Amino acid sequence: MDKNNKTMPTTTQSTINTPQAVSHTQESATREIVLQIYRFDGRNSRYSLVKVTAAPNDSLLDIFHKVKATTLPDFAYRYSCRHGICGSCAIRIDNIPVLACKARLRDYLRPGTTHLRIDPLAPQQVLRDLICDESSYRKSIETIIKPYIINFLGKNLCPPAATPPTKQPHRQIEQSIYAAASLQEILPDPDLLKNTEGCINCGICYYTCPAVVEGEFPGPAAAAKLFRFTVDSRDNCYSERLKLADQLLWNCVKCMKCVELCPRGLKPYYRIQDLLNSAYSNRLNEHSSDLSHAKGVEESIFLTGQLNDIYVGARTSIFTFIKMLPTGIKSVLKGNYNFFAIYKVKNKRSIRRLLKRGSKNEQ
Amino acid sequence: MDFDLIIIGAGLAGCCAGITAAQNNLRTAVISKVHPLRSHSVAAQGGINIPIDEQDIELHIRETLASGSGIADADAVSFIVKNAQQSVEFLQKCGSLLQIEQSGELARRNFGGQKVARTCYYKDRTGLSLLNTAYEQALRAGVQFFDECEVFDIQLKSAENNLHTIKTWKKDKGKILNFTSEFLLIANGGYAGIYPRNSNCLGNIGNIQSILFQKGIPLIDLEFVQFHPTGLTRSGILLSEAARGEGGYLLNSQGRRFMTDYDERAELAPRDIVARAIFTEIEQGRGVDSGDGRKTAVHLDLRHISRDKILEKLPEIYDLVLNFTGKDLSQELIEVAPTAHYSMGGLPVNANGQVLGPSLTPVDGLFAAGEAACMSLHGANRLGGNSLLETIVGGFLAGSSICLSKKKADLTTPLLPSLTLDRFLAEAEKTRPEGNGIFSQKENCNLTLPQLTTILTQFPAQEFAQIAPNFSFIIEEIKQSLANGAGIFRDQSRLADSASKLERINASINQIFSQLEERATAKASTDTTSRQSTDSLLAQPYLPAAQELLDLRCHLILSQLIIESADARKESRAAHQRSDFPTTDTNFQAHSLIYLEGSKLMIKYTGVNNGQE
Repeated sequence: MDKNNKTMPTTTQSTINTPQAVSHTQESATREIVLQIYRFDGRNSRYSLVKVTAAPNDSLLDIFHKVKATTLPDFAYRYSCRHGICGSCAIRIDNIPVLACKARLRDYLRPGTTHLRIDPLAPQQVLRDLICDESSYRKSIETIIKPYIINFLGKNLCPPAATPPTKQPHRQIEQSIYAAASLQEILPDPDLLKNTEGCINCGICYYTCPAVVEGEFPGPAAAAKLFRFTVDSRDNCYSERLKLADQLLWNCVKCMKCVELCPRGLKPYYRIQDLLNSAYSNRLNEHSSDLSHAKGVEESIFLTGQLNDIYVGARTSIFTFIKMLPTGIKSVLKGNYNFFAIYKVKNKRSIRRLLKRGSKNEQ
Repeated sequence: MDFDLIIIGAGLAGCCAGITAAQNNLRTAVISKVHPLRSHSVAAQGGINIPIDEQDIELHIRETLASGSGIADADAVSFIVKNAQQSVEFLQKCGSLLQIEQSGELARRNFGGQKVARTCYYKDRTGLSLLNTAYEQALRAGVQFFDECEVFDIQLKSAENNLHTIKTWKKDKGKILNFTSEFLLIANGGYAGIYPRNSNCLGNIGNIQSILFQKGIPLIDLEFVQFHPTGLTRSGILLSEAARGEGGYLLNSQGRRFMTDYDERAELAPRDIVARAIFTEIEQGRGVDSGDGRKTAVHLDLRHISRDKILEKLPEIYDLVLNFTGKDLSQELIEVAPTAHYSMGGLPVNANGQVLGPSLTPVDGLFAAGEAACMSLHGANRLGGNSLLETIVGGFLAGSSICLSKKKADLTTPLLPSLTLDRFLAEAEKTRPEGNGIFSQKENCNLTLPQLTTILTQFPAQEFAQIAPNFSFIIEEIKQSLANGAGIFRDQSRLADSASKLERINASINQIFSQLEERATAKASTDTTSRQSTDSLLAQPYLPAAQELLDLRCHLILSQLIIESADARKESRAAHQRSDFPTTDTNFQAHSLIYLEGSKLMIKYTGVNNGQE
């Protein structure tokens, strides 16, 4: 992925998500396929089996139009711009979430088969056929993260911004952006936004995110949006936003689904990590047990080459350590924890090297 | 629900007006068919024209007027152009991005019809960047958004009722939502989507224009529909003018750059000229295979531009072509053909953005902005890059006007762009210049237009599915006859053909609708009312049949009006080309105003403000 980044720095990394341009100009032979389409009329759900002829280069949206015109006049699906910029037509093909207007038949029909199953993006929130109620997704962005540039003159006044980290010198703007003398002073370097402003709100990352399903996680799109405002020099709420990231984003399970599925190649996962890293380094001077725990883990590995529970426990909080001591003694007595069976790490130096390299490459 | 201001349409114009109004503490609501970030402003790829410096303002005005071919209003043009800088700068200050050069200046690219590179852009997703910001700031300012709301009826202010009533179908809930407001702003976009091959989104079919037309509000300059020269042949999806701006060529079947035969500016001639040139090449047998075996396209060639430059300047177009044709833009030729793109006409507005009635007097509390309005910035043909400009400046203008009418305005706050509002008109002057006497009234034209409200709100959905015909075929038929009559070239016989065909369709639709309406009212009188409301067409979330009825109405009304307007204008001017009247006639240097008087269709011509007092 990074290699791709270097050759085409400013694109949306199209080659990852879209088919390569090779010799399919001649592949125009139409064939008959069978679509198994999810239907819901407000009361009952079922699948409709539809036969339709289609060319390999047809988009699923083209095929839907054909199905609607020929066999299912009451088939409902959302679409608008037809070229992948409005994000209306996200659906699932054989359970893979895609934009119907950008998905080509040839990329989803497995060799030798003629059968595709079409499901709505969010099966729990279907309104009709393939149309889902997206309000939970909208809420995750619009009510949780304040998705707009905020500064002193704005209505939703934030507390004065904290001193931004030295890595971002462009954020040294103290007065209101509206009153700024010249535009050039306040505009951010677009590269810092890492394309997050190109999100089309299709909801694919949100509705496939396992952490969202578990609750307490606003989803990759909201995180990317939050990131977009933390790196924007026009925004004055850096510390507020980082605090929010700190509260909301640790529940990410790092499954990378959002990176894999984003139709715009936006890699929200890495933005979540960016935010968490910033939030973490912003709090390094604070005293809190989760932070001490994280530090304890790091130090333990650095010193002994492995996780030493006693060290980590003692480092996290002496109070908790004493409170947990009886449990610890009990487990030693019962033989669940064996002091003497601790493995001796031979090559500590290479582990330290790995640790250093790991913390450097985090991005 | 009651608001001070209801804005219909959540694109750039709607959101910008919303920012101004909400910032001035008007209770503002925006009603949109789709989620605001899915409005079609998002699809604007190419860029936005901003004059480079003080001297360039003059040239920008001149070029816009030239492109408008005599019927762009000079005062509107100069207002928009002079306020471009502040308006866009405001959006830049609060979140949008435009490409900046190393020197700190805005990056600019060439666009058709302009001698200097004036068009600012952000990659090729300028619209996305601007719309996101406008929407975000409207949220911040406290505008309430009601998305997935389809307007099906509007009752304008009258002597009995001092509020506008807007009836909408909240599609995702399957409910009817009624709004009332003191001010109503129409910003729902254009109507080019009613053409069969178009670059517009699903919703750009002029729904509000057709509803208001039925209420006696006139429409202006409908015959001027811009065809964009480079649409993808299959779907009509747009390949932005940026492709030619960055140096792309157009080639015919002989592999020759034919544009040099038609205009000295070659590929960067105004859009109407390029579109007609492509059409002529195809007509004369020099077209290339468009993929369906018919020679109805020409080639767009960017092979001489380096891949790196394409990926840097045109990433979105590169992706688009790769995805929709499977071709690599930097190595292969792309088949393109003209596609219906932009509607120059719309609701006639005065210099304050207020809609004018048939007698050219302002309608109380009704405003319009963006592509839905025709403030005559574009005249007979729009200059590329001026549409985003119109939505933003027009949106802020309409917002400011409404605030001033409400006498609540503090337009000097730094939270708003500081528009040069010298354009505000005194009460007595709020109109357009009178016409030159040409007056056309269609003989015996009793245009009875379909009524929908009763059917939509009372007809039982179950029964409707069993007896109603498949309206999508009829819509398709209407689209085809519109394109046959009022395509790139028009003539008497084609227009007459289409007119009679549409008249037939109109008559049969009226018959079907009146039968449906009868049954609906009969049912209503026998059934208990409680069952009625839960069973009606609009009580079903996203019922395709209800959507088709609504779409059918605007297709039917607007296509007839476009055909009639095109028929009445017996000359050729920019986007309106008559092969039977190939020259421009100074008698027709006027705006055509089409309206209903009872059930009579009237067309009259009003004068152009050409800046010479």
